[in-house]
Amino acid sequence: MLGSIRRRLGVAAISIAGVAVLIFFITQLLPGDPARIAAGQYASEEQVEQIRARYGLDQPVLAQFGGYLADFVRFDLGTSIRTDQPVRDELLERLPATLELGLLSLLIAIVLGVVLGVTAAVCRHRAGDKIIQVFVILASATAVFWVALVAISLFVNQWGVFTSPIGRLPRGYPPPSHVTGFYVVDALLAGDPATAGAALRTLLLPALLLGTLAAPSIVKIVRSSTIRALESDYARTSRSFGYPTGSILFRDGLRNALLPVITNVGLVAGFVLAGGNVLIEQLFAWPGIGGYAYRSLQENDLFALRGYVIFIGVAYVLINTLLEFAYRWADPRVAIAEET
Amino acid sequence: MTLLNVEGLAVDTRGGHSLVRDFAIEVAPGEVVGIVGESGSGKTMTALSLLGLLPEGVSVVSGEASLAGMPFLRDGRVLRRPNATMIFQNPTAALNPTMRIGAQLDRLLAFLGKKGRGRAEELLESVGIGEPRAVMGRHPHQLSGGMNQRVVIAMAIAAEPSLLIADEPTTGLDVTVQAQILELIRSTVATREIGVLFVSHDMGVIAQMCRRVAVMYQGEVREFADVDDIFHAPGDSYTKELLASAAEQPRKVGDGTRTG
Amino acid sequence: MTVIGSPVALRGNLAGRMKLGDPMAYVAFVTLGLIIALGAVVPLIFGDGDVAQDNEGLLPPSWSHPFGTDRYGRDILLRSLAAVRIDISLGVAVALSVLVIGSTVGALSATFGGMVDAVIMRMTDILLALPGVVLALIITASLGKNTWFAAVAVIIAFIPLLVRLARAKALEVRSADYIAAARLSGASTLQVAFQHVLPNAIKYPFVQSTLVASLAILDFAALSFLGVGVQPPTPEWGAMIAEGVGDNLLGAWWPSFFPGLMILLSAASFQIIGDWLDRRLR
Repeated sequence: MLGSIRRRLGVAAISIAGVAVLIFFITQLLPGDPARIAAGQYASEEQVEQIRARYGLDQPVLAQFGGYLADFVRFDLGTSIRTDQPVRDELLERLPATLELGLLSLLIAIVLGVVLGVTAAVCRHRAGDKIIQVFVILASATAVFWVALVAISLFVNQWGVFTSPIGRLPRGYPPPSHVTGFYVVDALLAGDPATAGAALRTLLLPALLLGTLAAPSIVKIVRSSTIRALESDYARTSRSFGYPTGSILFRDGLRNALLPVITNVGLVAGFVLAGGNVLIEQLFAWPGIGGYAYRSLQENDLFALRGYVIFIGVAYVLINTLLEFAYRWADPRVAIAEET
Repeated sequence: MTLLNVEGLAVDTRGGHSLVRDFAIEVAPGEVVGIVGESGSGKTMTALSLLGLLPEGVSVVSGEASLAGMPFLRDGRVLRRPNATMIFQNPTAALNPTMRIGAQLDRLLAFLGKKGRGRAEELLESVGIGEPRAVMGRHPHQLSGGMNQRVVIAMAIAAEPSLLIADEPTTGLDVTVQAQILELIRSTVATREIGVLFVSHDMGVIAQMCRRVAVMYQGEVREFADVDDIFHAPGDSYTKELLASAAEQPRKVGDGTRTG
Repeated sequence: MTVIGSPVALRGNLAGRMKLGDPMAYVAFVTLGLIIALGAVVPLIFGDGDVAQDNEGLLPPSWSHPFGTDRYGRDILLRSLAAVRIDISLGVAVALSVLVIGSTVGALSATFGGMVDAVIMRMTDILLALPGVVLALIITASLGKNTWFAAVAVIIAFIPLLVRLARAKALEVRSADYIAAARLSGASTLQVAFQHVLPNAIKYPFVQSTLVASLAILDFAALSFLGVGVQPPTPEWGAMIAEGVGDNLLGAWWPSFFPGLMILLSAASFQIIGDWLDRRLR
């Protein structure tokens, strides 16, 4: 067991190293002058040179790579050209906002995905299944930033169901004292359910959007694995004893059908924490790392952007490694095989 | 005095293709009746149809069946669940891969209203499992096919059925294990006076286990008679062929593989 | 793009011959065909819609402007149709490039095995260590903000998926008997790869590439939305949505809504077609 843990961590380490090299390659070895890009279109040659010197871009490539690796190992993600602050600190400051949003989105995606997937499997060939398939196709083809605008248009401007998207709390609610950085949790810990409720309400719209759009992949997997489980020999054995359908659905169906979902969660997490997140945070004035990446992009702050990408890459590798462990622990067939 | 009586059973696919036609059979209490035929003859579908376990797209279209006097199939429609259980060809696949054996036994005993300390262990011991606690802590894929089949038989008997349907229960198992499982079935029948419907493609096994046998070919019953009569004086042309090829069939080699 | 009228004729022929047998697939083919046909034809006649009308901007949808006008008074329907050129052909181009490059690399990787295979697998792992949009983002930001670099970035983001799929299928095929026979009769490794492994390995990747087309449209629109893809004033659905963000706050929903609707219809059509192909291949 320990051997396989060590092996997986080794693979993860190699992947992280690979990601580091890849990002360096992309940002500094591809054609395109980082200094010029960072300085912007209207900068003078002097300004470009200044930036070049400041960030060591005039040094030979190997020296740059060495410096980059040294920084990487120390978790130094570079310095923002715009603010002159360490990127790591700026990201960590904004991380709780994105995490709170991302985790709620993930929860919504998983719950929605499992419920719809099981329903589709049970209603196979009938109306329920067809409707859910239509949902899957529409949700997979919807641009998250578009539906966010439509949702804001409808729910905020037209119907007033949600308050204006000005960030994590509506006007008139000061943020709770910092414990975890999660406003809902911190507000509850401070005995302030009103603020907790307000924070939850602002979380709801973006989380519903991200979660719903991330659900289709889970729906598809749950549907096919539930069908497979329900048509399996062991489900047939249960039916031969006359167990009630609920028991067969949960103990034979879901128990086995949910295993593949574990590995799929990685993809979903990638979407709600980065891929989709970076596209909507600025629409909701959400002070998270996605909005940070967006601003860095607009202002050509290549180093801040690079720091963000490294951060995401490392986090993604770690999340997927964790999920692999979870899967191996959850599936008795695999767990035993590893030991022998 | 018949235990199981089936008449006019017909099974079709959704597309109208006929899998079983006009099947009839009877089983007396304490008797093992066989259904023999090659693959595709419809014998497994027949067995599954009696317990309502047909796969998607396959259904019973007509037939009458009764168990211990109580009809459970009329006009091709299921009236109630018969007091019968089934054991299957691939015992490891027939058990839930993510549940320990003990949990699966407890689930059945709870459903039957028979929960009680040590009930599960007793059950496993009654089918010849020497170390029930060890087995109960394991998952199906950690146990051999023979062991899993014992577990399935244990579960099938725990439900105290009047009829046991066995679909190729020993195919794929080692020769020695085969013999043990067959002996287990025989002793179960003897002690509990239940009837068994034994489905197989192996004439040799049928001959060992059954008193009467129905020969199936392409969905129809060609002959239904005493095993002795069939072996020595087969009435049907197909039965003759089946016996002839079975005789030519080289005996299984000791390590459990078939040759030829 | 294509000769006026021929996409319509082709579509009719297709429907007749292929017996779609699935209403959703039929709708998808028709929708996609319509979008492509209109996108090819309408701009030729009515222009790209980039000439501002002489009235004030931000007119809601009406008979004369079915999709309304944007802030600069440009007709959104015309601009949306003009964007078809870029969005759809880019989606298809990306999908085809990914299919060709990815399948070839995957098949070769499976055929050669050993060190080559290990290295290629390691490289796909690393590329897949970043979510697609993020990878495409950093590539475009580093190369430069324009359409071509964005397209290349999206291609790079999708190649690993097809390499893996093609390799898996090729491995299945590789252990098949007829490959051993070909090898025994003296075919070289390269011959085996291209004559036997590749054709069989390519069926499923081909189906997958319709899905790639769908996702490529979405990802490319996302990049343009963020400002690193198409540059203004080129019409492109994602960029148009970005232009409409400010208008949304003012209550004008149409500049962002209709381009996004086009994305939805196109991407969904590709997906439905992919599912249909998938079912036919089984």
